[in-house]
Amino acid sequence: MIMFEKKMETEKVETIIGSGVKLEGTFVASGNVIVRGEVQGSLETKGDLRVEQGALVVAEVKAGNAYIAGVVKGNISVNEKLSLDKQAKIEGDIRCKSLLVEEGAEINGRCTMSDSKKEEVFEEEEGEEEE
Amino acid sequence: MYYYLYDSFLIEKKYQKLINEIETRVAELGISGRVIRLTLLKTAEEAVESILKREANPTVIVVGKEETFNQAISAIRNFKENNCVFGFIPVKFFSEIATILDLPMGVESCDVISQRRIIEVDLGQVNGFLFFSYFDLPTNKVFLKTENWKVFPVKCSKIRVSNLAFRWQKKSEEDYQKEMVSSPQDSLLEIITLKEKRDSFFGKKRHCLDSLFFFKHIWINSLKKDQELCLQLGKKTLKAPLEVSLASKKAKIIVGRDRLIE
Repeated sequence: MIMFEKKMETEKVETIIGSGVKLEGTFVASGNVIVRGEVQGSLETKGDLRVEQGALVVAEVKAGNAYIAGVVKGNISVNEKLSLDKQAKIEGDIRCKSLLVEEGAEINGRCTMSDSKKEEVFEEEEGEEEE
Repeated sequence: MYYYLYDSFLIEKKYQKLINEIETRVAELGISGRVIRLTLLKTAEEAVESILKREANPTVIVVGKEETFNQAISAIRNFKENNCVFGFIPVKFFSEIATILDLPMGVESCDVISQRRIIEVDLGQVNGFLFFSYFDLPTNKVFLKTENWKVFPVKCSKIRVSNLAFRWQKKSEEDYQKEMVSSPQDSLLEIITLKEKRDSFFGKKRHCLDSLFFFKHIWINSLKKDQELCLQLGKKTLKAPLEVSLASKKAKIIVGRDRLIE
């Protein structure tokens, strides 16, 4: 059996919020996160986020990269790439650098695709003009 | 000095041959030491405590079950400073810890012990008592709470709090990860929830990995106020609320070259 073989290749362990649990509160992780169950509150990771089919996230979401195939009710902010599966359903605003949407995905909210730093500068300039 | 703690079940006559082989090999390798036979009245924890009172730098080798090895390590909680090194010779029972630490069954482990490849590992702490590998919660009607988030198990068959001894292999497409080993050197503990699944209609039920969380400090309590949560840790019974955290103490253990952790 493979179980008893030595020198097995091991992968980096990631946080998994399974379909058998419900998480409430502010969840902050530094590595990758997989969501298969229910999350309420806010969800933040510097790594990749994967919301699988059947998952329900009622939270503010922040991630490095994200793949969504479940339901997200809340704003999503992704530093790099956001991929939406055909099963994905988003009810909230999206902010990302790069967006990939499969046919069938549902988005109900605003979508912003700009560099956040540039936008901050722009907002500051606007403020100065007003003065 | 080397101390060999023989598990209580090794008193049976059928293990005498194996004991003799271990003692011969240990003598050949020049790592003989004092033998302490554990009984119902003399636990591994008590034996290690009495060793540590006498000697500052002992090497304690547990011969027998994984549970006994865990108990032996937990004895260091009462000693502020110790340089005790722990070794393990697994006998008869399959040991997940031994597989992770690359400690072969029986006599072959003596060679690994003599090489003294030592690593320092984290220890977990529950209500002040240390644990090295893991403990399972006796019920899934609990909730787990950190300072920032709470987890409510909805459909879980088992909940495990682990420092080591957790390995997971991909058995179906649903198991996202191929192979994982929890590290006792990452300064984090893990909560693992498992779910029961059948491979087919008439197939056997098996436990599948459902959730995996990392933490440093967590509280575990019963969901129902009238249901008291009690945890059996070694020979101690701990009552809820259970406060689980990473212990400030670390343990030194002897490991093999092909271990699955760094």
